[in-house]
Amino acid sequence: MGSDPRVSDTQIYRLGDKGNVTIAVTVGDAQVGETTLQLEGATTHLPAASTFPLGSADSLRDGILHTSTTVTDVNPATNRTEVTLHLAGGAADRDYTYQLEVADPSGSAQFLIDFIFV
Amino acid sequence: MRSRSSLSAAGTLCAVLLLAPLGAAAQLPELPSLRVSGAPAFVLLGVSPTAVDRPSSPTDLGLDLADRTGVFQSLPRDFALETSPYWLLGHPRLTWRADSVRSLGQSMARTFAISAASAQLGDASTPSTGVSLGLRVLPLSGRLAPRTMAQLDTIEQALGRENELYFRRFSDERARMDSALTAALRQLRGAIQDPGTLAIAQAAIAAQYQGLKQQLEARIFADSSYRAQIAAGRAQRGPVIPQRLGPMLELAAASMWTYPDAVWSRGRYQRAAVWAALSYEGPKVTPVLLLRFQGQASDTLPTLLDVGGRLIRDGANWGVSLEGVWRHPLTSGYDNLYRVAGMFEYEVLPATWLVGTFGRDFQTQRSGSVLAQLGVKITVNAARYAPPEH
Repeated sequence: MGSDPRVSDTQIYRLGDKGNVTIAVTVGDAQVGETTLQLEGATTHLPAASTFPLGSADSLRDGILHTSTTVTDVNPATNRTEVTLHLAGGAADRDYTYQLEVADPSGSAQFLIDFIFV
Repeated sequence: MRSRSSLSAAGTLCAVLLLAPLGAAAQLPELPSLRVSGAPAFVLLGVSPTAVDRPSSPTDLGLDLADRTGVFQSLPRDFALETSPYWLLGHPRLTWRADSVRSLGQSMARTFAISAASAQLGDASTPSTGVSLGLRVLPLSGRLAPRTMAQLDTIEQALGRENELYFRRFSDERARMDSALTAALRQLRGAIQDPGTLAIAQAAIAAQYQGLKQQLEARIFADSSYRAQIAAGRAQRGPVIPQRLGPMLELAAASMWTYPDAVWSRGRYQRAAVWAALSYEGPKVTPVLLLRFQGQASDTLPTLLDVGGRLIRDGANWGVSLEGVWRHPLTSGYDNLYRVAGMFEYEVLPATWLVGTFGRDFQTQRSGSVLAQLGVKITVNAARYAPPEH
């Protein structure tokens, strides 16, 4: 929704000469969330606790991966929401962690993170 | 959350209309008072603060304390704070599925909470500030109920639909931006050979893309149709109150001091209490064993040890429970006392419950020691069962 806290970012992920690139997303702080990916127009829901294959370095180079993770606060102990996107198979494995705080219990936050593969 | 008898629900907001009080001064069941129903510091001080400071980070905690104490120069006035050190920091790897079961150490870390409160206790002629500190921890906090896990699974699917709606909006425009980005990156790769220069140029393109992306996002989030669809989906699911089942062990302690005229050197210890509650939260039957120690500074009040037990059996529209409390004064000159009471309730109309109590109070020689009540209870909140936060 328009009033949800939101983070928007674009990161460059450097690929190696070859290798298969994967993504895994963790929604932390015992909150509930879901990640949807869009790559070359195809939309995919990322299964929870899974490592998802994105493709080979050659097929991804100069392309872009869109991700949208929406998290809802269900943890009575904190209103913090935290998302870590883990990319592997490129020049180096990397974690990208983002944090937002919702104003009210049961509120939602959205993390809109894109990755440019070079 | 399903409808459930409130016999197990300390804190359910109800209006009780007594129809036939048989005992002149009969008391409502007292066992729930043996369980620490709120932050221990607030319970011992006897306050129910409407505004409790719950800092979400170490910085917030520091600023809060500095603000309330005049940069640590004075006792805070009418202050209530509760904080869990574990949750002051982020836990990016802790998923809700990983938290559905907890080891002893994990349970203690994730439920340990510190509370502090102050209140003005005296009057205008004898002003006095009461200060209380408390701790609470659940070494055993059960496991997430299957029903709650199913609810969280459903929320995940709903959030997936929200993400999909986001990607559907202005998808043609996003595809054009993607194509333009790819073309620009390929052009750079062909034109620039030096890796350092290429990386700088790629970063510039990424920054330019981010600017365009934010413009697109602003249009999506301003789109009334998109907002209406998201709001409609959320309205259907409502809030989730995570419920945990299985063995629960809750330990709490608090201590209180009073400071006449808010003068530190005149402060004195007033009282302390320790609570322990062992229960097994089942879907239908909940046995509870409770222990409370109350120590007093006053010579006229005894130090007490209360031991109690309660068995609760309930269904969707009924509930029965039996409780007993044994009171053992640790101060000489006082006798042991006990109290037994049985309770039932039945939903005669939606949100309207017939409730009854029968038993004996501690002091059998006193008027009102026969516990006998029949009444109607009208629940004024939607959820009758509000489990404690774990």
